[in-house]
Order: sequence, then C-alpha cells, then structure tokens
Amino acid sequence: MWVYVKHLQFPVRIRRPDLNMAKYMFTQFGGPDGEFSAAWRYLSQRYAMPTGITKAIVTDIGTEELAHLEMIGTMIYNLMRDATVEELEAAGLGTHYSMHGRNMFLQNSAGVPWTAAYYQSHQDVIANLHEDMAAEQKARATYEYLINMTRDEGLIEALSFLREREVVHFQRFGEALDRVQAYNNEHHVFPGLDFSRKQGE
Amino acid sequence: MANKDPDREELLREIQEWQFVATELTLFLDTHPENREALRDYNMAHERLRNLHRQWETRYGPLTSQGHSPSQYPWQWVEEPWPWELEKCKGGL
Repeated sequence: MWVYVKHLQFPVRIRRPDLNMAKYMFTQFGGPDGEFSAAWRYLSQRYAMPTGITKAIVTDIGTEELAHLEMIGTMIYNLMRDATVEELEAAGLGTHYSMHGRNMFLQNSAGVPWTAAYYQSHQDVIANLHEDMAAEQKARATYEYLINMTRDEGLIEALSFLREREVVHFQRFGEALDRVQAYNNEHHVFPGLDFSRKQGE
Repeated sequence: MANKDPDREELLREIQEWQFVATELTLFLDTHPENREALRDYNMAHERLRNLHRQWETRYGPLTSQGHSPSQYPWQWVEEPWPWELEKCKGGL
C-alpha cells in the first residue's frame, strides 16, 4: 500500500505567473518522458522483477516519481492560477481552459492526453532496466530544455533538483542492471528464453 | 497564521532535508545492501525524521493519514494548506 505525506519533496517557489512555462512544463506532467509515465513504468514493471534488489529499486524510484509529479503539478498550477481567461487564450491555453478550467490534467505540452503507450513493461529484467535507464536520460534532457526556457530562479531551482534526481535514478538503475547481469551469468539465467516450453514439446 | 510563522517554514525545511537524506539512502541501499556505513546513516536519518515528524504534528497537525499519524479534535487531516497551495503558505508547504 501507499501512504501520502502532506508536504512537497522539495520547496517550490513561484514568484510570478508564467503561462508559457506552465504550458511547456505539462510535458513533465503527462508527456512521454514525464513523471507520470516514469512512475507507472516502474510500478508496472515490479511484478515480474526477478530479485529483491530489482523489486526494491522500481518500487522506490516509482514512488519518488509520484512526489515529482506533485512538484510539477504544483509548479504548473501556481504559474497559471491567477491568469485571466484572455491571458490563458493569448498563451495558447484557451483549449486547456475550455476542457479543464485552471485545473491539472494528464497531458503533454501540446494538450495531447497521456497514454500508456508511452512506456513498456516486460517480463525480461534486462529489457526493463535498459528502458528505465533510457527514460531517465530522456527526462534529464527534457528538464534541461525547460531550464533553457526560463530565467526565473525559483523555477530553475526546482527544475534543477528534478534534473539531478534523473541522474541519480539512472545511476541506481545501472547498478541494479550490473548486479542482475552478474547473477544471471553466474547462474546461467537467460531471462527471455523459456526452456520449460521447449522441453514439453 | 500558517503564512506568517517562520518556525513553521524552518521546521518544514528541516523535514524536507532529512526526508531527502532518507530517500537518497534508500535508493543507494537498494543497490548496495551490504554497505554498513550507508545503513548506519539511514537509521540515523530515520531517527531524526521520526523526531521532526513528532515536533511538526504536535504543533501543526498530521503529516500522514491511514493510521501513521495521530490527530487532535476535530480531525486535523482536512486542514489547509495542502502542499500545492503555495499562496496559503508563503515559502511552500
């Protein structure tokens, strides 16, 4: 089960509205490399993970991604909370307002709703961990694009924290991959091949 | 009031710092379960965090629900601000 903790993982400071940044940052809420995709990629992959270490790492990183989703939602919501309808329309958020008002929705920067097709979950641990490492690099790159698009110190501080977490997660997934590969080599495990079926034929 | 209480903000920062230490050590220990030094640090962070949670909850109400934090009357979990309500708590919750 999960327990909610009633504070943000890292302080978010929003000094002034910025509808362009609000719109761009939606990619990290409900876009392909966003925090929701990350959380559900890892939490979906948990079930068939082969070792205690690999089960733990996707559980814990998947859980941390939910805290990041809350930070991104907090940032976007507060960037657009006080905007007038005219200002929302001028920033290209008129379609967003027509469907959601000023509330949050799982969509990318272009307003396309989130889809589970953004991620994969395999039985094969090697395939999963490589996807997870790639996902962390894609999210790191996205945070760098977002940092490039603002001069607001509060936004840069929070986006930099989230960028750093992608780097740490990449490192931890890499270590988990090394350990599971060492285990597979030692025990002659080929995670993608089903020998039991061959023997039964 | 929540938005004029410097102690509240300072205590929250300390909770966020120690929560971060605990989160970071959790992930490190997941891939280094035999590292005694990291394990000692993790258990120290747990003690600090438990202490800080208790301090916060005595003054400002529960940080968690589902039986993990106590509540005074009336049920304090519903009290604002919630973490995303930056305008109701200057400096963030």
